[in-house]
Amino acid sequence: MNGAGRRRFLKAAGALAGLPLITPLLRAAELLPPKGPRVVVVGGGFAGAVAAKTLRMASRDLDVVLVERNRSYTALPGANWVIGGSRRIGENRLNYDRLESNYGITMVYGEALAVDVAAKNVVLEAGTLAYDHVVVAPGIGFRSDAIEGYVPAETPELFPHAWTSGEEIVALKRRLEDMKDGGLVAVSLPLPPYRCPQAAYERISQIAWYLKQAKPRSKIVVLDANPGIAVLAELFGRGWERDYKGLIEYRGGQAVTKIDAARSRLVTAAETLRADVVNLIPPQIAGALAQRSGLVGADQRWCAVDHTTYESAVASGVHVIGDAVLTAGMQKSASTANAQGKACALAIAGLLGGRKPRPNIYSDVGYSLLNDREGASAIAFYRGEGRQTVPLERGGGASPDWSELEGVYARAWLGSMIAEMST
Amino acid sequence: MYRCWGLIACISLALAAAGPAAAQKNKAKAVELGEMLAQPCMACHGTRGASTEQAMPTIGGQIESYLAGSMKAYRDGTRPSTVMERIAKAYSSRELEALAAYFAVQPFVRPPQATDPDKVARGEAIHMRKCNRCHLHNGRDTSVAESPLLAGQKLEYMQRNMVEILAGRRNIEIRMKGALLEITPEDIEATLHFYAAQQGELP
Repeated sequence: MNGAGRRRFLKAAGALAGLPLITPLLRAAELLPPKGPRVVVVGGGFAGAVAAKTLRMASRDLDVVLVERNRSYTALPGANWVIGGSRRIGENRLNYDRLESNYGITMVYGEALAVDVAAKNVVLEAGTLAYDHVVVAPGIGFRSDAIEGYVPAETPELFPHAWTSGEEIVALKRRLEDMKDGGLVAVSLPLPPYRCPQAAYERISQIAWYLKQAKPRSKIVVLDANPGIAVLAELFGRGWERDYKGLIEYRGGQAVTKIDAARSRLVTAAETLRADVVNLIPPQIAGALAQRSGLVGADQRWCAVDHTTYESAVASGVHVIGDAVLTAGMQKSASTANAQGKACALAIAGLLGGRKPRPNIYSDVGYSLLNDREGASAIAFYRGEGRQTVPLERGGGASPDWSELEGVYARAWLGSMIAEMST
Repeated sequence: MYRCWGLIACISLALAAAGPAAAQKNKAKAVELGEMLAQPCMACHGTRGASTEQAMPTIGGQIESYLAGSMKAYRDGTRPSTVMERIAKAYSSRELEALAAYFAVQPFVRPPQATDPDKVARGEAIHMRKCNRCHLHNGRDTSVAESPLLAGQKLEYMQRNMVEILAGRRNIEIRMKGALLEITPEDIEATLHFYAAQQGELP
């Protein structure tokens, strides 16, 4: 870290509200003496957990430490199906015990306060973890300043985003259950890039499926900052027209700029809308750890990386994977995160073994359910080229239509991804 | 003249010695490339191709020629699929072969599956009578290059696959076609239970 970078780090770390200030951090002791070349992975989501596992699969000589805030994780993919009623949230819950016992990954549970690039360690409240390489998978944060009246500590209680944990989706479902038949549900979507736009349109479908069964006189208004449906547009359009005509009212190009959560109001350039249940998904940025560690790029939002090794463009030895990565044109998704985690792990194992990293082919395979049984998928292939991912000209594409068979595969895809990251 | 024959013999010997070594080196390179390309496949097909899902086939440890042939058939649209055609089209033939080479050298993992004991018993008898000559050792022998491993394959996958075979939507071996003509749908279902019930390695 250069002088400016270090000052930025100190300032960011010092500015943390409610977290210990910089002085104790700098004196903190090493938590675990390294047992070999060490890679610390921070964040046990779809990118981080699979990166830690792949590192140990690639080389048993590596000392791999996975730092995770929570002992239990509730995955977001497929948690939308809980709203529609075709999945139990328990199926989305996982822990890290078997990563520890099957792959010899050392778990450290706690909040990573920052990555100190100059000292080459990860700073936790209890002490530090030295690394040879660090993989940061910080997920997303919200740009609450983009919406007037949005209070990060309060608004999600009233207008749940349900965009960071599957558990929040259960809370959103409870609100829908408490709503009267004939009520109005508003779903507000930001402009891409944000975490998995495809899941946002699936969310709307699953809410509609629930309402159609339980409260058929109700209605959903979608306020989408994007001019049109951003992913699988034709299929969602066709499915909504066929199954949810009159139930979903889609309004493109409608960014919510102001809210009055206490009075349940949303304001766009065109209208003020009052709804009974609001699912407000705010615009997003790289997760707080990336912000605090000075890993965010020139756009002040996402982390620029080399797309072969996922090494940060601003900090050597630091790799960033998952939703926090700047990927023009590549959807942020669990599948993308999974592919990046594995590619990054193989690149690091190669670098530590003295091998030159090779560009890889990545894919994003995303399934959605329209109702309780019919699914469809969107597939995209990319090649890492320096600071960007370039779409492959061949392969990929969307399903021709919704089908029960793809509904079956959607469930298997989800089950397999959850098993892969936790067993 | 003798010298000439001698030279030819020498070159032949050298080639014979270099042949397997070069082939081995090419194979190792294919497996290495395959390992990198195979990472995204494991999201659905499981770690090293050991599926955890009934709808997804285990591909780790499957016969190389069968894997390569299947992916090419998906790519060319001669084997029906939902996503596999869109996936296989992204890779060159060399890349598909590298994927097959990587998955073929992984262990075929056979965890317990829910099967019907009556069907398993009936299936075993039919297997011995009709299938055993190609799908050797209860469907776990790799020595017949064209015959995919069936032992421990996911039951639901095999059932769905068999529907496509019986509907004539897949190109299959003439011997397989013949065998299928001679047994009833109930027999077929029973053999699938028998293969799904195979666990672990051979004693």
